[in-house]
Amino acid sequence: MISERLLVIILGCGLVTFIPRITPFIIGKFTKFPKVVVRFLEYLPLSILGALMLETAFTVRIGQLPLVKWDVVLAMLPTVGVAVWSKDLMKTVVVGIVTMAIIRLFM
Amino acid sequence: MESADKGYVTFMDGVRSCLPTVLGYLGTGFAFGIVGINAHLNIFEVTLMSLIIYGGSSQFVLCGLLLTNASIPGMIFTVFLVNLRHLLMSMTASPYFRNESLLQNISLGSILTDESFAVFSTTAAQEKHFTAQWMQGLNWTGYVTWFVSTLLGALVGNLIPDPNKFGFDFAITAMFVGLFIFQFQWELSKSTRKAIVVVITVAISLYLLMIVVSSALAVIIAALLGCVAGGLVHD
Repeated sequence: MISERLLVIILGCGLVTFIPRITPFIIGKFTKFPKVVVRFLEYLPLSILGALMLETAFTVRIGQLPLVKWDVVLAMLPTVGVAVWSKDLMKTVVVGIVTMAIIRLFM
Repeated sequence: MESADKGYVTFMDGVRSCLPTVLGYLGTGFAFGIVGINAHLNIFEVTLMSLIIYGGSSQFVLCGLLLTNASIPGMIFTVFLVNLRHLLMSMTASPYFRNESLLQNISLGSILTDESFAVFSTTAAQEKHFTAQWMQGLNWTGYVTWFVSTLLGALVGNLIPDPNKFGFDFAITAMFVGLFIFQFQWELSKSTRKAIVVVITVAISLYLLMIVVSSALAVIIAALLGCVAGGLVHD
């Protein structure tokens, strides 16, 4: 059903995704993070969502400028529009997927 | 919809708060199931990956690596880097739950995602009263949806060789677009200048960082620089 090699890989990957997720919850239980850290992390939601969103529009080629994925950029335009106008995540995702399917039909 | 403070107390409230993001999990998990099957994994292996690793980008990257001759430590280290940003999200979320038991804290952290963190942050930023049970509902709905959608994708994986043709790969981008826009509008309403400084810092540093490091690292460093920029404008 599953090879030993793959099981080791999955368990190993599970462990290294588990540790960063829980460590701050364990440390935070016993001590408070320094005030300055807390103040800077106030901007994490905005920063990380911005970074995650923009990252999907590029292909990294170490040593060269990142390659722009034009199909993603193009599909982002109406998606941003719907997000701003509807304030509804479901509609945003549906419009995004449909737009991308249409773009891929012609590209 | 009525959004009285009562809406963030029970597990079911958490399930309800997760609903807007369900479609994003569904589209991405479905695409992952298909990709996994086409990376020569079987249904059991694909769903096990979703249950144990539970990280969209990590799992896609791992499927790519499995098709190459990458070493096992190399693969595990790559996944570690891709998921390392959760350390920052957990650091941000954990202080709100420090009065809960250690077990409760560990279980809250273990299935935190970009999406549940985004919903959590919006709720916390609006100074709504919320409970650990609510957070559990939010997290678990994402986890179950991810499992079910991966399974569905894996079941039809042999019929659809290329999920990208139908735009499923864009589900994750669209979800990030929505979550980012909502967060941005909220931050703009608090402080226009700070919000713009943070976003511009992230955008420029991300682009430059992607010349020298992997995209996973670029995301972490750019997000940190964005935090620093926001913190400095604060004064």
